[in-house]
Amino acid sequence: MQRLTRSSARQREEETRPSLPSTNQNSSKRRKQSTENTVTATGNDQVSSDKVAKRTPEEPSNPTTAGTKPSASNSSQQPEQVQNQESDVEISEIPESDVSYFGYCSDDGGEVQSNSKVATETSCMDEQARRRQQQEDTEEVAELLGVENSVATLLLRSVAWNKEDLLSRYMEDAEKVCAAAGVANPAAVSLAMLSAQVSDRECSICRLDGPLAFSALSCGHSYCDCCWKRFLSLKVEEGETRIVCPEPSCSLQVPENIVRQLCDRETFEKYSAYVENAFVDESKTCVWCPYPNCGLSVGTTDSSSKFIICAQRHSFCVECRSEAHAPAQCDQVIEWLKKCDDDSETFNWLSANTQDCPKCQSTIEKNGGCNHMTCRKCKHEFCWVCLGLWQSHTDYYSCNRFDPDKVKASEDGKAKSRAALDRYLHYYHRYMNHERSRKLEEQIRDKAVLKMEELQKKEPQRLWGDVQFVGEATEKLCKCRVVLKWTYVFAHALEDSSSQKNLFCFLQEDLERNTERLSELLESEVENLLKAEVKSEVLALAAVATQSRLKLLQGVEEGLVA
Amino acid sequence: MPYDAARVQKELVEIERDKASGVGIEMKGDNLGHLVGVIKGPESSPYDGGTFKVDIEITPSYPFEPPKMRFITKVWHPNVSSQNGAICLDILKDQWSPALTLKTALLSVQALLSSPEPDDPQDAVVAKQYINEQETFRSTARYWTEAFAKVVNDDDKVTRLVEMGFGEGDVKAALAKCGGDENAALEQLCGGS
Repeated sequence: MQRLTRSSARQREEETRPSLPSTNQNSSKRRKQSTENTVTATGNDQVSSDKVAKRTPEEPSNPTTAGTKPSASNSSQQPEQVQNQESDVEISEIPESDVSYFGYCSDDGGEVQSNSKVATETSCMDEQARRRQQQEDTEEVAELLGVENSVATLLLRSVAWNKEDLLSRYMEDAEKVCAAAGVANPAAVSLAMLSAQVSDRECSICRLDGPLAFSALSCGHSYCDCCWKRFLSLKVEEGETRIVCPEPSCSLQVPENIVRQLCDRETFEKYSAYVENAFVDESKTCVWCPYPNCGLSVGTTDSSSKFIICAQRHSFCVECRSEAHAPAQCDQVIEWLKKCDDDSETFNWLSANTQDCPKCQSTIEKNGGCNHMTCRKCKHEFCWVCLGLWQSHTDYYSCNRFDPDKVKASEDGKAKSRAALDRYLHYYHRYMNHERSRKLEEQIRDKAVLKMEELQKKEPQRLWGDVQFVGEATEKLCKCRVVLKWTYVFAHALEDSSSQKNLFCFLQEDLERNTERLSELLESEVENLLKAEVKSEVLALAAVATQSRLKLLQGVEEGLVA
Repeated sequence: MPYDAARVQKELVEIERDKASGVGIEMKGDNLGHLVGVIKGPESSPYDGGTFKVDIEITPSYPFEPPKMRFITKVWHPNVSSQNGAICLDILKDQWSPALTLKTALLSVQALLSSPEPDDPQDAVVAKQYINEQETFRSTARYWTEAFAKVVNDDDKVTRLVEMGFGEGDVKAALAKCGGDENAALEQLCGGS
């Protein structure tokens, strides 16, 4: 596509509009508002959900059910499965066998992934499922140990919600388990709250004389109800979820039902919310999605991959909590991001948003993801990244390769640090470029939908389903972009001119070329995309690009041996 | 009233009754929200013989929140800031319980003077010295106790100033004028001569 100099005001406007990921609520809301057209637009999602709904029952070993919830009883499992189907819809694009060691997902199967070492689905647990699991675990422990639910909660929290661990430890040494959980032993009597005993003695907190109503946990340290209430309310206000008896030497914890009994409803609701959140913080089976303002929890137990996806389709790394970064490793990512922070000043002047046409020196602004530039003035075709002829990218592609010889020749005599900086900038430039491209490309689908609305006004016979494939292809394109972005971090860590690097660059080159081809095609006008032959080309290219992506990831997984 | 005045009042009466504990509380005017604690330096510690004043602020949520305590008297101690007297003590922070009192808090501060916890320091310089140079630490702490925590009576001040060569009458007049501040009196005596 040509992305030329002063782009029109309209295009700029489109660029500055905040990007709306195609699956987020805002965009779907927006689409829903715009009359009946939207039905077909969201119909896109509908179709893929249907696909999954059909697929799920065929896979009896659905990991969400199998792993995180060791069956309490058959009857309780029934509604769970339904729920799982619902939540699977959210991650419909990831069939069970698609996530390998590196956690990449394939959308269209193919031979590549069959070789993957590990194949499991990343489970995602929504708020409701999480709450239900919590409830079930609590009830089961309460029943088995003959204690009340709120005591069971305290016991479970002391062992990070590992039910099996709790039960086996409890059988071994109940005393120890109770002490650690701040529960009286035997746990059954822990709740003997000696409530509302009116007495004339002085309360040791407010120092008021009776008659006052006194309450105590089973430890017997009694305080007046008024002080209890204030004590609990202030602790809840502080966000404390493990409230212990006010007596300094006592370690007994206040169970949930006591908080409910003594505090007003608002305070108790706050407390319950904190305790629920604490489940995610304490439990080793789920984590918070690190994306800003997401706030969803995701189950981790069933995933052999460290990259998981939340119900909002944010994919992230469980270990370093950054974006899913295959093929790069966590330590490479951490080091890289730190380096980017440190060197950002140096890079400021390089990362300017405009470049000059290498032939006629017109100022060029990039407003699309495609890197194939055609100068509107002199018709020179070049690559945005390396400023070389675009021709060389189709015949002999070397844009992705860092050429140490070139640097040596040109920088001969200069300090080594300068060469290192050049090397870093080479990778950084490409890394940032793919990131920027992805952000722009994420809007392709929305743009296509908008354009379709316009078209439909003119030609009512147009069907919304006609642009559906654009959304699917865009998603695949974005996945390629993310992987491409992180390949430059991986390549930066690889030794130059080693055999591994050669092979890696070859795979990267293949992916980059196919990604650019797909991007170029997808960014053409909607009228063009509606042609049958273009549609089939887009679909074919998307499949090819995905294949390249999987090949690269598998190559890395196998240690880059030819 | 923002804080539990009834309870503070009762605490003051109790602490007044128990003089043997080595800690006390003085009132600053009528305000029950702002008090001054007095701690006797523990025996067999470098603080022995000193009297340490602690600024106590009763927070509105007291006794459900800890009182704010800070040394007014300068102290050389790993868990006390040598700059502003801030105290690093768990029961004055998250380990506070409404069942604790001002007296127990002051006793804990006193106990802290006897047994410093250099692993959880408030003043890094002092803590380093405490770990690496025990002897230097002890003598510095003792010196600070002598210099800042000794209650000096007027007779001693007069004697010292007279020894410097000033007339007894002038010394007494200068001290009276400066409200008993020895250094200010000395300055005045020097300026006047």
